[in-house]
Amino acid sequence: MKLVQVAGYLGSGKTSLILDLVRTLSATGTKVAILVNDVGEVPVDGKVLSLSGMTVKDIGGGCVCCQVAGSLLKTLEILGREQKPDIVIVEPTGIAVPESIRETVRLAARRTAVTLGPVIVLFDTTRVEKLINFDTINRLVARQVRDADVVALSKVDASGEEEISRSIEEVTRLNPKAEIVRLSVKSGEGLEELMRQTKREMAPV
Amino acid sequence: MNRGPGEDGPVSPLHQRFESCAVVAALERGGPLDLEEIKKFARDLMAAVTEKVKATGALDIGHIKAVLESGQCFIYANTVGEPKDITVEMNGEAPSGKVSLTLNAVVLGLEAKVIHAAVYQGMEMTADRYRLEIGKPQELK
Repeated sequence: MKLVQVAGYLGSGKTSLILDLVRTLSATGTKVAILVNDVGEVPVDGKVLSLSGMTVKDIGGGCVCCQVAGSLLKTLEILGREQKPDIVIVEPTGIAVPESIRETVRLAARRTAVTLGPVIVLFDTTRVEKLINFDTINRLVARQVRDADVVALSKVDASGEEEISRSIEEVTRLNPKAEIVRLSVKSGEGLEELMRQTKREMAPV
Repeated sequence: MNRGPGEDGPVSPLHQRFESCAVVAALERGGPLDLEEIKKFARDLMAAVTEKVKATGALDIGHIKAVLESGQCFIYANTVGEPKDITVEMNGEAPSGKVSLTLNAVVLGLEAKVIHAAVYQGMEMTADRYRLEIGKPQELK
């Protein structure tokens, strides 16, 4: 099974994107499992995804990048043993650090047949100024963008060209190697490209 | 404390000042609820909770998300802190007279207990407006 992270700051549109990606992947016969990690004890995102008929495993009790990394490791082992999906899509909390999750996956790969797919990080173009200028948020978002293989500039349908250009400039400065995709779940812009990215294999674990 | 990959550990320093609050509650009134009414309730709930959390001094609202379940009806409401950002999506059929509410808020710059109090105030204010009674809420974090 291959693990794809759909990460990004709180409210950037991760759950909406995953709903679309999984619908499309399932329609092509790909067996997908979703791991959702909400900050609180109540799995709101997990409920939303489950009601769409998807196989969802919730990890609660903290963030999978630090507090409950062990739960992620165990859940991956169980998935690999019992359900054997082709792709596992992980939706971490909006404050998670993707590289820490990648480290856990590398560890899981010693015991389970798991490979690394891309880390897709959503960057909310409608809140670009806040993401760039608000110190506490910026430190976190900058780290998420640096850890990305692909940065999806989300909600481009609701942003002006100036906000989008500013977002591209900032993302490129932080991570010149990342592929940048303009995304609107509403209009469908960028979904095909992100589907293609989801199927990518990254460097061996 | 250091931790290795795949081990539970302390909260990342990058998470400092982000706190969350989750509430599960039953909302009820004598008669049945109308589909449009429950959608409007969800939108008003997001706005009221946002307003209360902001008024309490939040530096940023990461997200406020709520799931409302009533009979075969399922509503998902979400905001990142501005009225224009509120989204309400719905699945299913006509609701019954009872709504089960699950709400999750992640906020920057407030203590969890302060977030909870603000969330509850917003919930109470909106429920009153719709003549809904709040059953005993369960605070989960």
